[in-house]
Amino acid sequence: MPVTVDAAHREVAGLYNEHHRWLSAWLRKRLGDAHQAADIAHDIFVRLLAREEPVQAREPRAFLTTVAQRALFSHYRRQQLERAYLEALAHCAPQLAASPEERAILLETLVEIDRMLDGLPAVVRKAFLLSQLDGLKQAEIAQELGISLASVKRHLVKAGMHCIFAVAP
Amino acid sequence: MTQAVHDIPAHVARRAVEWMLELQSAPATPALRQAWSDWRAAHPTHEAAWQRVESVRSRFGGLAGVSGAAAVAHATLSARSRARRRSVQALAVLLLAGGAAYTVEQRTPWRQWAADHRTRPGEQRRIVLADGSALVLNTDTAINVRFAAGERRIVLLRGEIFVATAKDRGRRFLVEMPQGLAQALGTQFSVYSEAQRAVVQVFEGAVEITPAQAGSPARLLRAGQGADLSAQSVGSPRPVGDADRSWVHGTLIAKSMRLADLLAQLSRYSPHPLVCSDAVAELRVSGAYPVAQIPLILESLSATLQLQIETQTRFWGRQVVQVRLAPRGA
Repeated sequence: MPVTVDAAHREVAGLYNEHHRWLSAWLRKRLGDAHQAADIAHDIFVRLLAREEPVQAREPRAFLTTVAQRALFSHYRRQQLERAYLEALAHCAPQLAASPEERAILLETLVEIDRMLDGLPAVVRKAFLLSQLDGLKQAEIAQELGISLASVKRHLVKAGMHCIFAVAP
Repeated sequence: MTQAVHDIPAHVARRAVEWMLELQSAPATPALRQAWSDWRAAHPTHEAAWQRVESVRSRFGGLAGVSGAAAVAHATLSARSRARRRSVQALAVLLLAGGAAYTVEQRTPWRQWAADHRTRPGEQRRIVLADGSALVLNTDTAINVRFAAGERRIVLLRGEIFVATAKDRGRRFLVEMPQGLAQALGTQFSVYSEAQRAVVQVFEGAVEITPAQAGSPARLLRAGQGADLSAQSVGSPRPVGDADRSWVHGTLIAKSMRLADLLAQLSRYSPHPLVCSDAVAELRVSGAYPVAQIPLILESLSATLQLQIETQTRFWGRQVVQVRLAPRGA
């Protein structure tokens, strides 16, 4: 049974028809891999479909380039995390996450946390992780990072607020 | 789904974080707990901000306190942007390793993802539509609302809705589901749709049901009647009563129901399956169960039927696989 397609979806369908091949080619040039380029292009359109507001882009290709750059960035970031994660698993805790499914869920958790902390300065991030992951007291964090107690408190509040506004509902 | 996170003022977010840090830093005294719950109750944005804190905390929940996990997390999360160039081979290896994670992300069909209104398992929501019609979305439900000049159409993507239509002579009121179409004739009714079948139940007025497959005969259901629906046909009407819409008020009414059936019904409201061992599946239970309080229901069933609750988890308690009721000492 056909579902009524509303205006926003029709707009995305239009973007898809006219620019999908171009976008895939753009991504392929940067990734050097046609399958990945196709996956990311697909992902971009799925995300556009989920928007409630119409896009109304005057320069569709400029708009798509911006969206694609963001998608590429998170793709790279994810791969970087994935690599660091596999190394860390091998070195720190080979007994952790024995099955592929467990490994995937643990990685998903880390990707979520990384996304949440994205944009914070390294020291702020580190302080927050020490507090929330290791349960260190503020004084211990101050000692560990060689900063004042007041700075720790300021960093933790900053990171917490950042997360509140970053976390997906 | 568009929870207005930006409606939380910065000073409220700050206070919520301060509460979190305070509660984490020392064992909370009763006075501190009281002050904290007073703060949450003082304004809706306070509670909203606190919910965000909980949501942030839950991201860490599965990792904290597990030996090794924190070290892996630190090592992974402190990976900085190094060279961005990758050889194709390295990508292939990483993609193989990450394959499982990728499929997890893609499982949500986009139509449900992009739905106008959704509820999660255990959640119910009331909506008043532009024409004054009232909808109640039951647990794990997704709908789109499509109002046009000649008709008011609800597309039920999954789950269950209760509808009380407002009068509008000019425009028909329709509920579309994969199995067919239900047209309301001044009425209160509910529609439940799952993979293979749908169920329509009429409490007031009448509803005309047309299966999706062209040429299948339509059937009119009157108040007090319900019927199953497939894409090909409408089943024979059967009586329905108030117990069949008790979920609208957050209650599931069981009259001498098999324990296994009750748990199957309650599972719809729970993020994980609720089951029981075969030995107790045939036990009969009666009662009005508050569907928003599954843990309470399980406690009460376990107490009255002398059963034990077995919670199976994995990933260090991060994910509950299922909850099972079994005879004690088994």
